[in-house]
Amino acid sequence: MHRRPEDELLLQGVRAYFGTASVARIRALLHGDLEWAYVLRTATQHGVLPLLYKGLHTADVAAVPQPILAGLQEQFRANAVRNVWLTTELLKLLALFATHEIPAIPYKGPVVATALYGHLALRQCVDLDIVVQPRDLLRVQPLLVSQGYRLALTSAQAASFRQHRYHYAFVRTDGKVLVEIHWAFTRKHWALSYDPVHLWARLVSVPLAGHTVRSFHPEDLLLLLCVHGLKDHWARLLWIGDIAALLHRHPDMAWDRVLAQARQWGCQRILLLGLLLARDLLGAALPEQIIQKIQAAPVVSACARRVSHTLFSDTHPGVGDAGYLHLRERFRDKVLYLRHRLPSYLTPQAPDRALLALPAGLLCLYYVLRPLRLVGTHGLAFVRRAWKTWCCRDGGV
Amino acid sequence: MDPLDQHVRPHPDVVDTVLDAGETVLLHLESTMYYSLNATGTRIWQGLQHGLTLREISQCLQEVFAVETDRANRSVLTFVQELMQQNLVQACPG
Repeated sequence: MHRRPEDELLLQGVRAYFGTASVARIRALLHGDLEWAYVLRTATQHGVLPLLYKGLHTADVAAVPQPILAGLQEQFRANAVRNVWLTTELLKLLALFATHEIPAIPYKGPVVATALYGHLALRQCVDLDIVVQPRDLLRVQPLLVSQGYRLALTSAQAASFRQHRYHYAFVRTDGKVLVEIHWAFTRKHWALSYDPVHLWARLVSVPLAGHTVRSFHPEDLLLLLCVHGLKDHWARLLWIGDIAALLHRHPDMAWDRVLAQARQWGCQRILLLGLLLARDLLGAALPEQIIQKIQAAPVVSACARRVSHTLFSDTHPGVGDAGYLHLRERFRDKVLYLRHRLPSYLTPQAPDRALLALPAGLLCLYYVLRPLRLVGTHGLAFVRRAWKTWCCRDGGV
Repeated sequence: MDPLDQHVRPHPDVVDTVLDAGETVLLHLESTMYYSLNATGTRIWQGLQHGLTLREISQCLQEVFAVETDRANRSVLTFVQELMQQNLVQACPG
C-alpha cells in the first residue's frame, strides 16, 4: 500500500532497530522533503520515538537535520529519565505488596522495556500495570492510598468495576503516575478462557533495574500482548513493536505449545493477527508453521490489512465487530460478544432520529425504525453478512 | 595536578532522576546499566553537574555533614573513582 513518506520513515526507522529495514530506503526518505514535525508527533503518539531515534542511528543519522536530531535526542533522554522514575516507583509498590504478602505481577511498561527490548530507555511507558489476584484486590486499595494514590470511583462504582471491568486506575495525587491494578485482562464478554493458576505457576524472573521481578512467561506474554493489541484496536505501532521485540528476543518459541495454549484460551486467530502485523509492518520472522496457519484463516490477513491501512489515520476502527466475530474461532465466544454488542445496534442513534422526527410519546418507535433503516440503507448484503458472521465457519485453524 | 583540583563531569550518555527520598538513580544509555546513589552520592553528583572541582564538592560535604576535611576528601575521591570506573563520569580537559 502507498504510505506518505513520513509514515514510511517511521516504519523503516523502527524496523532498523530490529535489523529488518531497508537502509537504502531510509536514506532516500531522509533526503526527501519530510514534514519532521509530523514525524516526531506521530512517533510520540505511537510510542516509538526511542526506537526511531535508535533506528536512525543505525541507518544514516548524518542525513537527519541537526536540529531534528537534537530534538530527538532530548526526547529520547527525557523518556529514559521518565522510565527510570517509573521503574523506581514500580519497584517500591512491588516491595510494598510483597511486605503484605500480596502476589503482584508487573506487566507491560518498564518490564517489557527491559525483558523484550533489553533497555529501559527503548520503550515509551505511559503508566504502570500490575496484575493481582481477585482475592487481594480489596487489600491493594488501602496500600496504594497510603502511598498517595487515589481511585476516582465511589464504592458503588468500584463494586460495579469489579463485576464488569478488569482493572482499576489509581492516580498519584501529584499526578505524576497512573497505576492500573488488573485482576483480569479483558472484560468478560471477551471470554478469554485462560487458567489463572497456570498463568501464575509459569512466571519467570526478569531483571529490572538491578532487581529481579517475576513476570509472565514469554509464551503467555505473547498471547496477552496480542489480546491487548486487538482490544485497543492495534492503534499504536508500539504494541506491534512489542510483538516483534518478543519474537526477536525469543527466536526459539515453542510454537506447538503457544498454538495449543491459544486454542485453549480461544484466541488462536487473535494470536495469528498479532504475529502477522509484526511480520508485515516490522519484518518479524515467522516460522512456516505459523504462516500456514495464517494462510488457512483468510480473516487474519483481511484484519491485518485493515489495521495496516488505518494505523496512521486519525481514527483507529480496528477490525470492527464483524472482524472481531470472525477472529473468534469458538461459537460461544461469538455469542457472548454479540450479546454484549447487540444493545448498541438496537439502540436508536442520531441517523435514526434524523430520518423521522417522532413526538415524545412515540420515541419507542425508533426501535422499530432502526432495523428497517439499516436494512434499507445497507440492503440485504448487511443481513447476509450478519448471518454469515453469526454462523462463521471459515475453516478455522 | 592535585586530584582534588580536577574537574569531572557526568558522562554525556548518562541520564539521572532524583527520587522523592533525596536519592538519585542513574541510567547509562549505552551500557544500559542502572545505578542508585544515596543522599551523599546525590550531593557529589549534583556538584559534578554544576561544574565544581572535587575540592569544592568536598568542602560542601564538610559543611553539610560536619565531617573532617580528610574524611570528606577521601569520600569524594573514592566515590568519583568508582564513577569513573563505571564510565559514569569523565575528566574534563585541564
